Amino acid sequence: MTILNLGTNRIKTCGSPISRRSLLKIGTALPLLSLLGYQPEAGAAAENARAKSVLFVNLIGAPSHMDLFDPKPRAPAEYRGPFNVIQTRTPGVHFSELLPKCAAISDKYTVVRTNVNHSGDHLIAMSTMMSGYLPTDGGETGNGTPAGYQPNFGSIASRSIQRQGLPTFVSLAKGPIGDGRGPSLAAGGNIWGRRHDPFMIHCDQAGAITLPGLDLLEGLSPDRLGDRRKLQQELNRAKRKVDSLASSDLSALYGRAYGLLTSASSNRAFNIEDESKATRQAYGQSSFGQSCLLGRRLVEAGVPYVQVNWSQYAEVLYEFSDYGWDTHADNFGLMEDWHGPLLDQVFSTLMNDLDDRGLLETTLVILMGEFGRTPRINSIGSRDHWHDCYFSLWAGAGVPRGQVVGMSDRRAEHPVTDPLTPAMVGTTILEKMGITAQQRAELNVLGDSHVFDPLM
Amino acid sequence: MYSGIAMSLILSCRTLFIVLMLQASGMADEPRQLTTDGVWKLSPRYSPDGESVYYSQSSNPGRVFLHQLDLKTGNNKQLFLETTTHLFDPVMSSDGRYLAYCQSSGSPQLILMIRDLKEEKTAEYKPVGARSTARRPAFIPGTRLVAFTESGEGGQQISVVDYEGKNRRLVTEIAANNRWPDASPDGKKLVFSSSKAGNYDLYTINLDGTELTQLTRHPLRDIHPAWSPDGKRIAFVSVRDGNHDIYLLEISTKKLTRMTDNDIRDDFPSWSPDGKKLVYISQREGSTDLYELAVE
Repeated sequence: MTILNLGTNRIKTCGSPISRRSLLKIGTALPLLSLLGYQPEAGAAAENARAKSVLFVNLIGAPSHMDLFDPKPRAPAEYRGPFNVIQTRTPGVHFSELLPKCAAISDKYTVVRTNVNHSGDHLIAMSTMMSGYLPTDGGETGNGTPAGYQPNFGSIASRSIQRQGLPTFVSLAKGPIGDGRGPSLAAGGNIWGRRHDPFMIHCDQAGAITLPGLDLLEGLSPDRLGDRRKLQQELNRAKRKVDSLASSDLSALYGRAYGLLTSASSNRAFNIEDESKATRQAYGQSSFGQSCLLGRRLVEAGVPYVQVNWSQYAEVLYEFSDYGWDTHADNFGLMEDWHGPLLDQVFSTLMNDLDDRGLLETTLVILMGEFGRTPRINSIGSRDHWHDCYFSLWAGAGVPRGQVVGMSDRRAEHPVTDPLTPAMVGTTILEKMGITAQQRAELNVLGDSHVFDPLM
Repeated sequence: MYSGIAMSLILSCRTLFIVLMLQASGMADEPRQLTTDGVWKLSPRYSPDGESVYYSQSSNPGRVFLHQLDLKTGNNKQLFLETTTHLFDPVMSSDGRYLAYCQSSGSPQLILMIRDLKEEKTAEYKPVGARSTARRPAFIPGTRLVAFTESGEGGQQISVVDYEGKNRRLVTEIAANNRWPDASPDGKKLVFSSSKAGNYDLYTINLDGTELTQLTRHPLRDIHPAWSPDGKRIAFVSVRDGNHDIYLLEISTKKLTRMTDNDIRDDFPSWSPDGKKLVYISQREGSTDLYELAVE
């Protein structure tokens, strides 16, 4: 049985009758139009696109490149950290000893060691990583406002690609991703509106799925999802509540939500329990692991763009946080006990699973964070933010296997070969999806950027 | 152990206890699986009576909590349910009166808590610095001191404080990452991992910071040491054979015995009070569970 959990009494807390402000708040949490068969506007992506789907694995909080995929064993002690290196399956290429499983399958993907971003602020850098643009309307945090900001690569994809019966852009997280100050921009459609936001799904460590975007559907338990009549009643009730204020888009939204949630194709895709016990165990009993498994199921079902987020928040150890990669404190302990082995297990499982199923032929996989961490160890024996040089992993859809692209300097502080910028990341993704320069120009996105040739 | 533990203990039915009794069937060298929920776990340690295991576990929604597993009944209790922060590295004093653990607090990021279970009072040690941390406490027998890993100005060092969380003193001042202390049964020495020679190896040091001695030397890391109750051996984890396995080091002879030999992650060994078993976490087919291994 699919475990779906809908509704968290948002209506009650907003009061009744519902206010326009509340409705807008609900609208923020209801990015459903992309899920509901929204019509493409910029022409269909090319039939011969190398990537029919993209699986973007977002390591929120910024992982240490030196302690993972770009170690520098000959750097001075105040840089290199306590971890040694191990030989990978790719001759002459070494990773940190924290990654034996990823090292053993390095022939399945390409490592880029020359990523750069334009800011060392989590919110700004996340936004840039996911859209290719720096926020321009600043504000105190420099994070700006969604209405003035460019769309996520996934929103661009969903505007260009139509697939019946499935969402076109899914983001897996338990809520809007960001840091302790608030959500990041570029999570969705932004200047194009909320209808291009991703369909958000949360997958917990047991594989139970909740839909943060369907808060209007209060009172729906997983058991009741199977009761179509009751579900329809709930949808109708929610629709009546907002009809007087909602746009026609929003009114139509609920009926379509019902259709999607009860359709055979989406229900199959969401149903992690269809997987064998061995497969579920291989991904591990963590939210990240089960999210990657669900991500694989979604691309297998044909969802064009899936963003799997390691956590909702960048931070690791605050009360609200959920173990992001922002390891200012105790970087080496956390990398040893948690982040290193969890990443090694889950990513290697994901790559093997995709490869075994032949999905790497048509699925582009990217693994990266918004930046890296200071090569020089800080005064408390940890690592801070570093956006001048970090790593990304690329696989599938024609990306070369077993390559290392680009070289950082001997302290991993700066690229010594061509850098890979966030805009180039996006352009490369879209090009792989068959969204051409002409289409990008029509959409007015990433017009002055170009692909990263070694990945094509 | 105090039956009236002044903690919020709520029975969790999620962890199933498997009584495999492999030893009874003659498979004395096979590990005994203690939990089956498979979720991420860290740092198990026996209670001083050997009847329970305390450990950290990832729990929804994205939190790390302390758990106590009763080895006789299989009851699994989540501790400090009223706490909304991450909790790590629980360990009990040898008389069962004190429970030490680490708690996230914002600033500093992790503080050391020493809970007097009899008086129901908690002492705290807050490392100096907004992003400083305390991890992996260990009671030092015959003293009223707790050793722990402290990340603060000066890097990652081994420190001690008293049971009131006061009179903090550095044991190591080594320009390297120094972590995971455990005390000798006579309370005179600590064993820990240090990257002094480039990557993590095992060292011992006197409690007063003298006589630093390197115990292991390998290009791949040796971590999570635990001193045996008879004082003769160190259990630890090494990746020298390709993945995390548990080893025993005979201190006097330097003889190494590999206790687990497989391609899965076996980590965080801790001795039973009688020195006849090790509890540890094992990551088998992706599931992370507690196991117990007999030691000759």
